[in-house]
Amino acid sequence: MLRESAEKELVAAGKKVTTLAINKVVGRLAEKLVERNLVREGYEILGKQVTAKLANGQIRYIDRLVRSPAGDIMAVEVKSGGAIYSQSQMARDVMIEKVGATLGNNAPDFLMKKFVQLKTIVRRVE
Amino acid sequence: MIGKQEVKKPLLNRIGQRLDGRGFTKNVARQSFFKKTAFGRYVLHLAFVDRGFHISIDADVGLRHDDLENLVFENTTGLIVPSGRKETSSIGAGLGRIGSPGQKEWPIYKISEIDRTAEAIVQEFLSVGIPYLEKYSDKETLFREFVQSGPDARLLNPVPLHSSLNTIALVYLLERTDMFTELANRQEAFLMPIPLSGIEIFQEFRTNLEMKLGISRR
Repeated sequence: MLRESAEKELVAAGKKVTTLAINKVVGRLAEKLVERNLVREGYEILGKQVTAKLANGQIRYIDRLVRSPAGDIMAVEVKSGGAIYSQSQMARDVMIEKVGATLGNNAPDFLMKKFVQLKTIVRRVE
Repeated sequence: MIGKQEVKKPLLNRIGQRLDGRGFTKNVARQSFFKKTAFGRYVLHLAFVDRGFHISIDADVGLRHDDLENLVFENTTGLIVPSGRKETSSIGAGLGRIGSPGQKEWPIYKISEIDRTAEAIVQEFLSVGIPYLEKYSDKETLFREFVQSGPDARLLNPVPLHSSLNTIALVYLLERTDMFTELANRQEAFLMPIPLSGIEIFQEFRTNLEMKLGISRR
């Protein structure tokens, strides 16, 4: 469904319909869909496509930074279609949860340069 | 399709031109505009979100009280990285949340829309962002708001730990020592059930402030 929409939109925009282009658009459409659902479930979206710098210097991009209805601050990883939640992503997310990370660009200003420990939840869109 | 890099600099430049006479300076790396004040600084910050076919812009404001941030930095471990100690804000909120419930974002589909978007963001900043920053420049007002809204003062800082730290930091800075224990207990009870709330940072901060105030817990 998302792939079809992405292909149609690429054609309408006069862009080359490559697998890479489709995947990129599908990913972004999935993020938007997940965001809507999260808001409907009572989550507050604090940041989108937020940079998190790990203690070892690695960077992780957090698709959505949210506050759950219970009050905890969480990272949301959006996966669409057959996209895999890779070992390296998982390892970085464990590090953010156990050790923490410093938030950077696209984090709201009140969280910028602050060290946070976050649990990551994965949301899938088929 | 339009990319973040095509939008970022031109949009920041256009907003910068509009805010220039108001004392704000642009920082491209931080995607922000800063204005120094007697007590700290005001911030307008932008986030650039790739939506696939367009870029959407989120805008939020931040307010830094130097004494509050210094107190938190000096009495906690690991919350603020040393290199960033002068760059943190005490409170803040999305522009969309201040004016009305919910979110607000500004989509840009074409380069030609940048100028109009800059104008719309600046207008929103001037109509809801600046009044918010001016209101909470006064620590007494900020303190009242934290106490009246309870531990969960979401429009001031939606992160429970930061909201709790700010509340007892303000008790200390405003010398409301008689309220310290009650408010600290309330904040601790609020943080307790929240997973990964950072309650240990709050407890460390509380203990350090109690020592400064000469309060002993039995």
